[in-house]
Amino acid sequence: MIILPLAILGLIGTAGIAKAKRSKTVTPEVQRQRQSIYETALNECKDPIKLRTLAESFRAVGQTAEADMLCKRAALQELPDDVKAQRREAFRKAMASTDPVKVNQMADAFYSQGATGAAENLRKYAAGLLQSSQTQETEQ
Amino acid sequence: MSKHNDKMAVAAFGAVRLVMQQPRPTVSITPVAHQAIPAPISQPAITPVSHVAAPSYSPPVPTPQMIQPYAMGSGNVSSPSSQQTAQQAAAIAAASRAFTIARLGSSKAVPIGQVHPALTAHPADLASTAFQTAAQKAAAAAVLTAPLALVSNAASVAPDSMASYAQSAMDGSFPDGGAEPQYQSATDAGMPSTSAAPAAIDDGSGQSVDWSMLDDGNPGPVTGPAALASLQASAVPGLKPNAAIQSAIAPAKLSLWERFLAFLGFGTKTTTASVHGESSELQSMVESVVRRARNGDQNAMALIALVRDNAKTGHPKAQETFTLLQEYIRTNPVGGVASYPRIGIDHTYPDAVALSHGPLLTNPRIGKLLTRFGGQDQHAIRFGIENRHTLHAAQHQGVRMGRILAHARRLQAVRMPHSSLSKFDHRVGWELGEK
Repeated sequence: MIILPLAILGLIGTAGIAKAKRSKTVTPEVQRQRQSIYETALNECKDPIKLRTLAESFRAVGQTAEADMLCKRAALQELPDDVKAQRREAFRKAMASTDPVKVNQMADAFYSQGATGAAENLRKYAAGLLQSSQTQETEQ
Repeated sequence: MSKHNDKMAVAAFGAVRLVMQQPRPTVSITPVAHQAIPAPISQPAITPVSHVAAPSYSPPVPTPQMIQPYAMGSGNVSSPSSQQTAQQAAAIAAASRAFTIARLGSSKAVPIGQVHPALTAHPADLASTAFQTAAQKAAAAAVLTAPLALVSNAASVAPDSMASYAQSAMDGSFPDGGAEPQYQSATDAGMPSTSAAPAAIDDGSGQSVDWSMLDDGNPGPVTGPAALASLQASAVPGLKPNAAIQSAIAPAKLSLWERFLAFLGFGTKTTTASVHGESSELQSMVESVVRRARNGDQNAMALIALVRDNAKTGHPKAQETFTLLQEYIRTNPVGGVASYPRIGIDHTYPDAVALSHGPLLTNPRIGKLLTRFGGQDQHAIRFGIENRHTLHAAQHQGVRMGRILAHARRLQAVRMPHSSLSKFDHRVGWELGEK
């Protein structure tokens, strides 16, 4: 007699756990959409307020890495002018360097500060340096 | 009344005949080497940073060679342009329009398999192998390897200097209150000093140029009497002519009536300016713009955005175009037959990086380089320069070379002091606080 209520309770508990799990699981489609929103914000959004709002949204759903990056990008605009000038100078010098390792280090430094566009350009340039040097070595 | 009309018609016809009988301006092509271009300087104009008080820049005085598009063979028109006949103006306008259309239709303008032997060499070694004859090689070497040490970058970076510099730059805490004590000269950092480099740089031909001459958006017009004549005169034998380019460089044949209309100021319309013709032309342009935008061409994206904005404001032509754009995008989804066969990696970039560490690729220098190539190859290189984002599997070697040159110029431009980082990449300009 006691088995029936226990089975009902067990079913209810299992259903509850399954529902909670389903709500926490992000489907691939949702993940794709979030990734698309994140990349669009990185490439297009230039309003610090919007970036911070979006960062809070990402933080709320547990994507803290994306939220931190968006906050860093928003903070880029609030740096002093002399720091911005120094960074511009650093970017120009890195784009003139011939050492891919150092250029990649500079790219990492920019990336850690939220300047993903600068980092991407520097990494592409470093890859080009590496490939061109390999080509020259092969030809020699 | 009818007699008066007849008289008017006779007078107009007489005026047209008078215009037709005017002597046409003769175009003479003179090799660039015969022009009064100073010999390349023998010493690089590099001054240590500590000896430079402040970079002084005076805008270069425009010379006819700088005004000439790409210094195209230094073609000289012997009679003044004001004496050009209406027929020639109409022909030039038609050729210009046809060339613009050919440039927009990038996929059609560059068929595969038309490779000039001079263009099959490795692009990183343009000066030594991309030319057929010894004279061409020598001339190209003189053009490309003039003593310009400003962007040559042989010194290596000290192992830890770059990292510390990067960290200092990131923190904004240079030891000397924002100055850079460890990088007082270019050789210290292993890089050309952008802070001390003069804004005006001698490009080896005796002319001062500033960084804006490296701008991709400033390649100079592609048509004009001298350029057109030069293109026609420098046809390469043995190459199958490309229809689009041929139609671009060939003067349009106009009837007497069309010439008369052109004389009256209606000469800008082509002979295909029917309603159907305009519609099909617009459709082809829409297809081209969408394809380019899907392949990452930001100019095409901006064009679509502009059309959309104008359509929202109620501009009828923009609304029509926007409808066509939407229809084409709907009927040709991404990944369909409308998409270009994309190349995964841009293989021209490493070559461009190598070339960017050579001499400064100014417009005069590229102009001299272009004069070594024939009409079709020249057009292909120009096309590549103006469309560096074009990634197409079926790519003419000349287009490839042009894209390498464009990428290299872009890299050289971003290294220049006070150059626009936003123009290089709008994200970089925003991230690094450029106003």
